[in-house]
Amino acid sequence: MIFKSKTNPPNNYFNGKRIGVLGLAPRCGTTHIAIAISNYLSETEKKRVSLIEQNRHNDIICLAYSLGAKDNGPFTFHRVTYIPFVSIDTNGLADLGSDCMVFDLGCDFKSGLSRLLLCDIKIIVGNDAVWRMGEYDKLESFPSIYGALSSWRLFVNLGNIKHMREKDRYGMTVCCFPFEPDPVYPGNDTVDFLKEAIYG
Amino acid sequence: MRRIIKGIRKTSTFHDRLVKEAHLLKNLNNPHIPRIYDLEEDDEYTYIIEEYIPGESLKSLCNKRLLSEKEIIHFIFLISSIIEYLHALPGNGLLYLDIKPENVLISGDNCFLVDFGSAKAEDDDTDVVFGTRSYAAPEQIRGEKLSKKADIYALGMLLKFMLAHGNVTRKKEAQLQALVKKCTGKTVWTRFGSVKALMEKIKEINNETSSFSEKPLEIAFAGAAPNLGTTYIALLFSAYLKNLGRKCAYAEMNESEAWYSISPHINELRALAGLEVLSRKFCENRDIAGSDIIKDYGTLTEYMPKEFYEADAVCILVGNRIWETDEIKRTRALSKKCIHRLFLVNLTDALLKETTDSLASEIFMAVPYIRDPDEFLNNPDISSVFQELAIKTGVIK
Repeated sequence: MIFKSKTNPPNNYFNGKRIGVLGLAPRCGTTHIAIAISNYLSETEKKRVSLIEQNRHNDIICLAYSLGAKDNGPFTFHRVTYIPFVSIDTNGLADLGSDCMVFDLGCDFKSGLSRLLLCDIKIIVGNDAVWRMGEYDKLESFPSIYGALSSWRLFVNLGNIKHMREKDRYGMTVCCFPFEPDPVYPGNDTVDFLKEAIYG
Repeated sequence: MRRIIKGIRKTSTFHDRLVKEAHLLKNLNNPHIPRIYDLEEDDEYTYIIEEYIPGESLKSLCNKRLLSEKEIIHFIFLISSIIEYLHALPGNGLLYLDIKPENVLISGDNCFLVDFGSAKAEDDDTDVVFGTRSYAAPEQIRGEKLSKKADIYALGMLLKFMLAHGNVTRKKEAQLQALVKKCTGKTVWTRFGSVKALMEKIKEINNETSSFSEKPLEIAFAGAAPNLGTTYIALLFSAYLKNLGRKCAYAEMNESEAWYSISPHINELRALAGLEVLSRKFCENRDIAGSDIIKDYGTLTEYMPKEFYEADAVCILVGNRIWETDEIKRTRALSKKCIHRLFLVNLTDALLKETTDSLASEIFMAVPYIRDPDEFLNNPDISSVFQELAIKTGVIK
């Protein structure tokens, strides 16, 4: 029952759709994909988007400094509001007034999973690079009920079509994330992919 | 010598052209031009008895596979030598005027020029010859009086075609593209003065072989963070050097055993390049004198051993994301003691401005993701990346 109550919150609980992005391991492209999704939703779907960092990697703070920010606080770039690492404060998040909230849950799979369950769209990020094949072992113990739900996606960075079928066994929609050099300005391939993968 | 007999019906529209061509070829004596032995005729047919050449056209060969650098240089030299022979024929020479991949027959290492239907003497003003668009010189398309420079133009275009269908190192490609440019000048006086001059240049390029470092090198690899692909790139680079004919071994200098996680692919690489993979312990007891050694130190930290900094070249892998620029700065600071270092921006072929700004004043290059380790030696884009790395690390001088 806990699952039902988390996926069907009262309408006023969050003012928008929550998309969670959780990586299987460090450097598999979680922040990259979270930023690409945020910018796609903002630019193409014309939504007010907040990207909330819920991991301690400080990638968003590094991004802020690269973009010229002066402090560690929230900032807006390209119409996306970036919120560096915050502890889960649902009341605060409800005040953001966003149409969509994208949660960058980092790559601590165990703790991230409980947060991912709170999201309407749950994206797990894997990486198909030759040296990272073992990381999918984490999904072997994944309860099959999770995967059977339509809200789950497995996005595979550097995906190889040949390997995609093997990953069908996890039960969730599996998609190869296209090569995207700059997620702040997602290209046409990425936009087409996200259109299909998120709302398709 | 095998011969074939071509029967041409006398009423055919091609009859006169083919018979004229056969008479012309009969008087030529070049090992790269099919020999015409005889012409016979009866009431209905003219028969041409000519040398049978097994093989396929350059065009069809290029549709099947990429040409090697050696083949491109060899073939363009041979074809130029045929044209040079034609241009030097008694009188004022013969212009071929239809050089194109379809008219070059490849038979093993040898190549032949066929279809002399457009050939004519330089001082023959009777026919207007248009040649084949994209290979014909501008003056030929305009129907103007032609000279030997028209054939030089077409040779340039043929070389351009081969380069587009070839696997050539960046250095050689630049040299050969310069020849293409010189051959295909829009105005005749900007082109090579003669085919001989072109052949001299091809010879020069051919003789200029890449020289390798005489002493075996020690090249260290380290990544700015775990999971960047350091081991993978170090292994592929070792295989590339081995494939160049260098004696080379890969040694894992950390305890991660990362190479083990990609062992299925390492097996394929071993088969491909005879690569020797050594663990740190194994490496210390092994005689690897006279061999380049690629040392994989894993992740760069502030506690690197002295020999890391003293390696002949240190390759440091970094990422290409906007939020990784701080990591690049940290990596630069950690590796400043290195005698010769270069930065490899991994998993990309499009460097972000933020990345290039962070690496300003450093030697750096982009390394795209190599999806299929079996294919990387045959993929010209990938092998050119490793060639650049070999040059930057001093293996190729």
